[in-house]
Formats: sequence, structure tokens, C-alpha cells
Amino acid sequence: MGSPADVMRRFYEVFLARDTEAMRAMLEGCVWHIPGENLLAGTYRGLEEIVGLFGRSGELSGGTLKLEMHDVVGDDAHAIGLDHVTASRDDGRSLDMNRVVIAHVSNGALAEVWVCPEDQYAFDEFWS
Amino acid sequence: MAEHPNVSVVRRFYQAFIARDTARLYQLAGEKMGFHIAGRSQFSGLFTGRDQILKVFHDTGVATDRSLHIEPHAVAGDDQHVVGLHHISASRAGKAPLDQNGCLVCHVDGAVITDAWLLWEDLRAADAFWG
Repeated sequence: MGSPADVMRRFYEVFLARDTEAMRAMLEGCVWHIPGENLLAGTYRGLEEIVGLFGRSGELSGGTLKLEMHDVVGDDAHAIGLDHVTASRDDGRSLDMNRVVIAHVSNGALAEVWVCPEDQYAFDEFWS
Repeated sequence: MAEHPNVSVVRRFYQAFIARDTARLYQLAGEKMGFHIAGRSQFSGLFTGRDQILKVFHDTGVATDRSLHIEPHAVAGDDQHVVGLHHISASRAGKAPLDQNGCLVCHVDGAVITDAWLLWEDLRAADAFWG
């Protein structure tokens, strides 16, 4: 099962590989928080809502969303991912920023996730 | 599992901040440390070097009449990064109290922090608080 950091690294891998089945197994019962004032902001509870969120972010960015994992650290209960996202919208808006992704991990799955963008205002502008 | 030495550095930095131990903060901050505070408030931006960083710490203490408190929740890291998760609270006259989670992403080199980025769970509330 590995440490919380191992679990999050694995999640990045399956997310980037678009391995939907593996991703689903890690999101069962998860609560996922997107902050700010934008079309994606809110709390997503459970697999279907979170997969819906990923779908919506893919649609809004016309499939341009790219995520690069920079590092993952963790302790017995937390995993913290540092990543970089880029994306663009039809009207020319672009996103290019670091994020901190904080997770509570239990039983090899993500229990609760908080996304923390480096620049909330730019994040809101892009996803509005 | 023994704690990574870089994690201990950041843990001690939190402790020194809480104790308002400027001598200790001085030791734990790299000479050219960059401290990045997210947002658009009077305290947002990049503060470079120990003097600027200690000054912004002092100024936030004055602005909150010393009510500013940070409670570390978890500190985790590896050779490249240390991240602290904390709860921050403070009050100011005429403002809704600050009461939220945040995180501090650090680069540590040897026994000192060389760069730190302070992020807020609710940036709008933080900016409204600091003004």
C-alpha cells in the first residue's frame, strides 16, 4: 500500500496515464475541494462527482490541460503534492502556475483533497 | 522513521515564529532567503533577506496587536522540499477575524531555509483581513 506520499505519487501516475479504472479505485469515498470563485470551485463528494470535475476541467480547457508533478512529500497521514499546471481556453486565456495539493490518505486511497493554487486570482480568472 | 533534517529546520522555524524568537529566526533563515506571501494585501509579495523577512513578521504582529498565532498541523519533506500545513488565526479591529488553514512550501539548504512560499486556503478572506 505504501506511505501517503507513495499513494499520491501513484495517483499522479494513473491520472497522467488516464488510467480511469485505477483512478476510480483511489477516489472511492474521496472529498475533493477546489477553492475560489470560478466554475470549478466547490466541494466534490465521491467518485462520480470528482470524475465529473475532471471531465469539466478537461472540457473547459479543450483538452489542453497539462499537469506536471514536481514533488510529493508526506508523513503518516498526509501527502502533499507540488505540481505545475498549464492549460488554455478557446478565447486565449491561459493558465501557467504551481499548485499545492494536500491530501489525507487512508487505506491506500485519497480520503480528502484540498487544491491550493499559487495564484488564486489568476486561477479564478482562467476557470471563470 | 527519523524525521528528515530539513523537516526539523522548518519545524524549528515555526517554533521560533510562535515564540517571537528573532535570534532563532535569524539563524534558520538563509542570508538571501526569499519569503513569498501570496495575495494582494499590504503584506503580499516577495521579501528578500533576513531583515526584510523579520520586518514583515514584525509588521504583521503589530497590525494584529500580537494576536497572530500559527499552529503547525503537519510538516513533511524530502531532500528537495519541506511543506508545513498550519492553522493561522489573528484579529484586527474592524475586520472579520482571520481563522483558516494555510501552507508553507520551503526549500531548505543545510540548516537554513532558502525560499518559502506562504499560501492561504481562503486567499480572499486573508487579503480582506490584511488590507
